[in-house]
Amino acid sequence: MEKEKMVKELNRLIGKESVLGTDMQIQLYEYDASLIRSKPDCIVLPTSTEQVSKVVKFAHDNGIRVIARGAGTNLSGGSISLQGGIAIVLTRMNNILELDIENQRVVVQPGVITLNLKNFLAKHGYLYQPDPASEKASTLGGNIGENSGGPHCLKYGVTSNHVLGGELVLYNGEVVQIGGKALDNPGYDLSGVFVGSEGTLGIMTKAILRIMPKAEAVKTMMCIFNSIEEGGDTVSAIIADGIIPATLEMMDNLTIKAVEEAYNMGLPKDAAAILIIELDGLSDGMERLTNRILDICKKHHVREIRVAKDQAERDKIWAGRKGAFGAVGRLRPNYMVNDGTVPRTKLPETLAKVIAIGKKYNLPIANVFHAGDGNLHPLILFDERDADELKRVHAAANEILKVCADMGGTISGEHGIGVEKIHGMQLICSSQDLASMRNVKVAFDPDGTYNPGKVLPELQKTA
Amino acid sequence: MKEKAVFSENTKENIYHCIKCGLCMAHCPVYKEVLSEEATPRGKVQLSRQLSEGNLKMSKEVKNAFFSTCLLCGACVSNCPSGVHGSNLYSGVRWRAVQKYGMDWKKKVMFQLLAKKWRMSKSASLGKWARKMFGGKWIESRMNAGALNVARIPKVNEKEFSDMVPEVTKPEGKARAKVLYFHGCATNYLYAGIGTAVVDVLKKMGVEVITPREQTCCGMPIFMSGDREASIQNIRENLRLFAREDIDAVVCDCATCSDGLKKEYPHLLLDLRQLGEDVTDEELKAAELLAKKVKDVTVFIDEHKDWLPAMKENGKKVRVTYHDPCHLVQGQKITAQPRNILKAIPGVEYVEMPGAGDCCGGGGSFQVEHAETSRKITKRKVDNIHSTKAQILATCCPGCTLTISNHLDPSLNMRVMHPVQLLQMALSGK
Repeated sequence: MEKEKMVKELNRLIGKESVLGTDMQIQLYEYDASLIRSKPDCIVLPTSTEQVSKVVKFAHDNGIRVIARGAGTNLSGGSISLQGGIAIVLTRMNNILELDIENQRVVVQPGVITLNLKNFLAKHGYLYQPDPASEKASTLGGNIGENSGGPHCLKYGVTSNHVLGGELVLYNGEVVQIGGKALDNPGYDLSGVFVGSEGTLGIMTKAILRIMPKAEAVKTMMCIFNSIEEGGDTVSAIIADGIIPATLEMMDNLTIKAVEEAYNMGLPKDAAAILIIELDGLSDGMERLTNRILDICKKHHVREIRVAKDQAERDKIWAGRKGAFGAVGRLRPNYMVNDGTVPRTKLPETLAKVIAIGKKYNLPIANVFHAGDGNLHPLILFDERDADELKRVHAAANEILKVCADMGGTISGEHGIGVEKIHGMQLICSSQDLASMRNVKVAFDPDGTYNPGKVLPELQKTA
Repeated sequence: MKEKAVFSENTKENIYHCIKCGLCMAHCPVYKEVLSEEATPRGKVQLSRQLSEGNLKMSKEVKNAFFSTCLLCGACVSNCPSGVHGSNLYSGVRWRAVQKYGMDWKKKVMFQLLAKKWRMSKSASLGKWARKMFGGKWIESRMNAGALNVARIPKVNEKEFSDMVPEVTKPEGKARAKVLYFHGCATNYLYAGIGTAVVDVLKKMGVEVITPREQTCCGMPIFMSGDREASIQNIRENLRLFAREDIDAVVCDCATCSDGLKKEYPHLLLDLRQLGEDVTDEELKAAELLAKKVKDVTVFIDEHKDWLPAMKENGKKVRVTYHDPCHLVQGQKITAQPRNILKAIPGVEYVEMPGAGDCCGGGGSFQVEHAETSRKITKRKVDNIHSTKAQILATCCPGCTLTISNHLDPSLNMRVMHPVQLLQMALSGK
C-alpha cells in the first residue's frame, strides 16, 4: 500500500495525533541501540489495546508488516523495521493497571518504564527483580520481548521467570488472554512461548508480573583485582562454595577506565578487574556470608575491597556498572556488543580467546560481564566511519559467537538474536530445532506480519 | 552555492559519539511528557547527524522539533555516559533554523533590546515593555503568556537595579576580597531584592563589590533562541567588562547567566571561529579567563563562610526547601553550596523535596510558546514542593523563581526567595 494512503487510513482508525509519517519522523524510528538502521513506512503511538488491535488488523488485511517498539534501547536490532511497514510504538501505553500486594502481582501496560515500575513498587516495599542496564529508559514490553536479564538475574532469574501472563494482540488483531496470576494455568504455557519471542509472535498489551518483598538487608561490595584470571577464579570459587549472591558482576581494565572517566567513582584505573558482589536477604547471617566471600576474595589475592556504606554509595556503584556501555562510547565512537554466555568455569579461558580475537583483528575490546551467569559482554570498539574497521568488527563478532558456542555456551544471554546474531543461530540449533521453532512462528503468525527478518534464519530467507 | 555547515568540526564530533543507548531519555523532562522519539535527546542528536550529513533538509518541522521539545536544560548532557554534548548540537541547529526561517517577532524585538544593553531609556524600561509584551491590556486581548498566568507575573522594579546600586560598594570592616557582580536581567528588571541582598551580604563579609553599570544581558536567552549574531555582541561587551585578572571572582545570582559565562562563552567563540567568523585570539583568551573567575554567588559565600558575621537568632523557625535550577545542577554540578547556606541559617528548618533536581518546566520562553508541555512539567515540580509543607522555596535562578511562583497554590502563601536573601535577613536579625 502506498504510504500516503496508509497514513490516511491510520489517521482515520486511531486519530492523527497518534500517527507519524514525515521523513523526519521516519528517520527518528530507523534506529535502536544496535548498529542496524532501516526505516518504517510510518509510526503509530497507540494508547489502548483497542487501538493496537485496529492497527494490526488493518496491517494484516493489507499485507503490511508490523513491528512493536518501546524505548528503542534494543542491542540486537530487534526493534528495527527491516521491511518497512508500521512501527507500533507503545511508550504511551504506560499505566500501571493493578497492584495486588496480597498475591504479589502487578499488572502493567507494555510502555511502563522498567525503573518507574520499581520506584512505584519501592513505595510499597516491593521489587520487580529483572534489572537490565537500560532499565531507566527501557520499557517492560521490550524487556518481555527480549527476555531481558540484568545483574540480579543470577539469583532471581531472567524476565521470563517473572511474567505470569497477560493480554496478546494476535496477527489478525484478535485479542486473547494468556496465563494468569496463578503459578500454573490450564493448557499450554503460552507465556513461556511468548516471552523472548522478540516481537515475532504478537504484541503483549498487558502483562502480569511477579513482585517480591524488598530484601531486609543488602550488602554491596566492590572487589578490585590485579589480574582478570584471579577475578574469574573468585567468581567460580564463590559459586562452588554454595553461595548464590544477588549479583556477581565483572568489569575489565578498559571498562574500568571508561566508567571512571564518566562517573568519577574513584576507581583505580590500573586495576585489571573489578567484581561487584551484592548480597541480599535477611540481616541475620549477612555478616557471616559477607566474611565467607571476603575470605574467598583474599585467597584469590584481592587487592582492595570496598563495601558500600549506604544506599547512596550503592547507587553510585550501580550507576557506574549500568552506564558502562555508554561510558565506553568515550573511548571510540561506536561499539558492537555480544552477549554470548558460557559455563562460568570456562570464563577465564573464553576471555583469553576473546582477547586473542581482538589482537587478531586489531580492535580494542572492553569486557563487562554478568560473571555469575557466565554471560559475557565483549564490547568491540570502533569508528563506523572507517569501512575497513567495520568489516573487521563483524568478522570478530562472529568469531566470538563461535567461541562461545564451542565452549558449550550460547550466543545470546539476554539481548536477543534480532538481526545481529541471526547468523549465529545455526551454531546452536540444528535445522530440526529451527524447524520446530518455525512451526511455532507459523502457528502464531501464519502470514509473517510481525517483525519480519528476525530470530529465525530460514524465515529471513523466505520472507 | 554550498550550504553552510551546520556544525563546527569540534561540535560535530559529538554526533559520532552518540551510541544511541537511549539512557538520556530517563533524564529528559520533555520526553517524560511527550513520549515520542522526537522529544528525546538521542533523537535530536540523530537528527543533527542527518542534517549535518545532508540526509535531512532544514524545514519548519525540524525547527519546531528543536524548539518545542527541548528546554536546553542540559540534563541529557550531564547524564550522558558517552559524554555527548547534545546542547551544543541543538543550539547549532536552532541557529541555522533561525537563519532560514527567522525568529518569532515578539522574541526578536525583545532580544534586540536585550542585546543593545538593557537600558533603553529611564522611563520606558525594557522590563515594562516586556511585561506589556507578555501581559498588558492590548496583549491580553490578543495573545497569552502561554503557561504563565499574566496576573501573577511580578511587578517590574520601580527603578532598574543597576540604577539603585553604586558602581563600587566598599566592604564593611576589613577588606578581604574584590569581586565583580554580574546581575542578570531578571534581577535588573524584576527582582531587585536579590541584587540588594547579594551586595549587602558580600559587603558584610568584607568584600568589595564592583557592579559595572554598562553590563548587558549575558546573551544566553538570545543564543538559545538561535540568534547567535545578536548574542555575540553581548558576549564581547561582557568580556570587555568582566574578563579581569585583578579581581578575585565574578559572582552571579542567576544559574543561567553563570552557566553561560562559564561554559558557553568559550565554546561558542571557538565554534564561531571554526565556522569562519571573525573571532580573535584575545577574545578566546578573555573568555577562558572569565570562565575561571565566574562563580555562582552561593559558591563564593560557601567557600568563604568564615567571613560571615554571626547570625542573630530570634527564636522564629521557618520551613525552607530548595529547588536545583537546571543550569546549576546539570550545567555546573552545584548542589551542596546553596543548601549549606540555608542549613547554616539558625531560623531555617531545612527540608529536602523529592525530585529537587528536576526541571521546573519554565525554560525562559519555552513556557510561553509550548505551554502544554511546560505546564505538565511544572505541575510535577509544584506538587513536590507542596509535599514538603515548606513556607519558603529557595532557588538560585530568577527564571525558575518566575515560573514556580506563578504556579504555586496561592492559598498557601508560599514565598520564593534566593538563598542569599534569606541570609541577608538572618544577618540583619529578621
